[in-house]
Amino acid sequence: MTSTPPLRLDNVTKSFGGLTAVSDVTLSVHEGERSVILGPNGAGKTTLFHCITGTLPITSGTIQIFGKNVNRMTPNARTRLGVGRTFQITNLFAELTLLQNVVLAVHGRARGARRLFTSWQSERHVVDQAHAELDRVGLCGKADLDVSELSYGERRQLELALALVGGPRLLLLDEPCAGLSQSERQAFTGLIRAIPSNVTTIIVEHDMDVAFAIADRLIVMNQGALICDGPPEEVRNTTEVQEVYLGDA
Amino acid sequence: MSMARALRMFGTIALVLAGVILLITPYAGNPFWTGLMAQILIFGLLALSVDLLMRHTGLFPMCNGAFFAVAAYTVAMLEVNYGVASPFAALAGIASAGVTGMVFGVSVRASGVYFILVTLALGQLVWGVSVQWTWLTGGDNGITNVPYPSLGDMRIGSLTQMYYFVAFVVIFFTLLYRQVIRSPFGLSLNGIRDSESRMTALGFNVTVRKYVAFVISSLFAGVAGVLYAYTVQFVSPAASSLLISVEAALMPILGGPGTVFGAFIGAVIIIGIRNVVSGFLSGWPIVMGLVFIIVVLFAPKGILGIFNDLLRRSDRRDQAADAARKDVREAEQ
Ligand SMILES: Nc1ncnc2c1ncn2[C@@H]1O[C@H](COP(=O)(O)OP(=O)(O)O)[C@@H](O)[C@H]1O
Ligand SMILES: [Mg+2]
Repeated sequence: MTSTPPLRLDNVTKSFGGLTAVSDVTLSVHEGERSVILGPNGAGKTTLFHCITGTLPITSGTIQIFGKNVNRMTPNARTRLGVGRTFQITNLFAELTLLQNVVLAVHGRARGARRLFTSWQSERHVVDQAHAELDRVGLCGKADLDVSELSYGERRQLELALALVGGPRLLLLDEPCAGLSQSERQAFTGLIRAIPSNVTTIIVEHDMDVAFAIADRLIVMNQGALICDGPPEEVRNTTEVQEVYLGDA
Repeated sequence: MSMARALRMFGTIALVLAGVILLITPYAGNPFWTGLMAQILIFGLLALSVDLLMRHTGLFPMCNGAFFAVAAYTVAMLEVNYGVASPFAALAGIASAGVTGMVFGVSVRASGVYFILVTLALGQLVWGVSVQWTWLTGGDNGITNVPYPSLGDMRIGSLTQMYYFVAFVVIFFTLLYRQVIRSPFGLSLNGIRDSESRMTALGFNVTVRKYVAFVISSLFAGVAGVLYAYTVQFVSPAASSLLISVEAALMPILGGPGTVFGAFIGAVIIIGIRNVVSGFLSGWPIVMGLVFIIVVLFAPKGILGIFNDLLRRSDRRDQAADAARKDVREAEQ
């Protein structure tokens, strides 16, 4: 069976002036696949995510999401194809409550929040869905707190909740566990593993334990290029990878 | 009595007092105060139109005075030159502000300081027209003898009646404004203020939303402009000066950004300083500047913010005391 890949990159390059942050990347991921991207700092992992989501325009190449060429699509239009993402640096609505954060996510997916003359709280179905999404990442009971009252770990949970709202079909997680303690990291790995198996997920992750716990496929980047790509065990044993990444990890 | 209760009582008394003053001002026996109160209400509404963008959306507009002036001039011209019936003149005034907002709305494509500069330039354009297109605007002489509004045989015949009309309209639009702020759309503006990139990643078209907010803001500013023309009965380039836009931004900053009452508290302070302090002190702009610096440095959430913070802190102290008392009681049992 040949289904269209959820994500396909052909010779994607992104340069910042003289610096090539993403260099001639060709990649195709399969439906339901969990890929983990490894690579040292500055390898271009975050830039690659920004190119896929449209936050940064690419210099050359083509990106297809669910078979659609998205080169000219705005980031919000790409989101509506079913792309969810988290940010490496926590990116939340800092002055709003958790519930308001998630309510906005529900509206964004549903092309909602167009009404002017009802209060947002009165839209019960939206609020109920938001509560359910908070429960899913273990933040029930904190719905009315402001983001500023959350611990760092809880903020990462909320970051994940925003990406999961509305059931994205392609999920990009940029170092979701960075900065978490060992126990928080384990709990978070559980959350990631609980993501429905039909959701294609690409995760940037430095922690080898986390990576091996979730990956079907390991992709290693260095200096903007993919240097290795395959099943976790195979990649782990590649000498190039051990030199570039695992050696100094 | 606990601190929290005292503060709540103070708040209630202040609110009731404000309501009473609002109601009885025309009977204070001096039209000066009636006119002043009417201006406070009108500029409070203008301040809200600025705060919709400034505090709720994270944009700092410098052209709401222009929407205000376009509406005021439109009403004045239609009433004085063409004898258009008041309801139509008023609607045309609001609509002209809205159309100006739709045109000036391209400025939402700029962000940060560029947005401020673009809106400043656009606002100055309107000021230039009001000064130089004498055939249209009367130049520095302005347009005089704007009548009070009328509907068929019903005519507002005095400043007192006009005052109550202004109060009614301002309260109506303030309630409408509050509804917009609490709506799903209003919440999405807060999201844009906090993180545009996150909003985009959630699927929102941020630029379109900013544009809509900008046009809504221009409509509210237009309502204030219409009321101004009818109340002051005279429109001159002063209505389109940059000072109006600046003052309208200072009002919520002083009173309490993001709150409906804050805009009006700020209006009381600024209109008060401009009209009352200037009576006996020629250096009144210095007083205004000092008040502004003190508030921004020591009360970044404005005057209402001081009150709210105090209240929150004493509530928390009360809760802690209650919990401690409960512990003691349980220990004794
Ligand atoms: N907006 C930008 N402008 C210029 N250079 C950038 C920008 N974003 C990232 N870079 C550069 O691109 C390279 C890759 O960065 P990044 O994608 O953040 O790496 P990673 O996420 O793998 O640590 C780095 O050298 C970084 O300095
Ligand atoms: Mg990164």
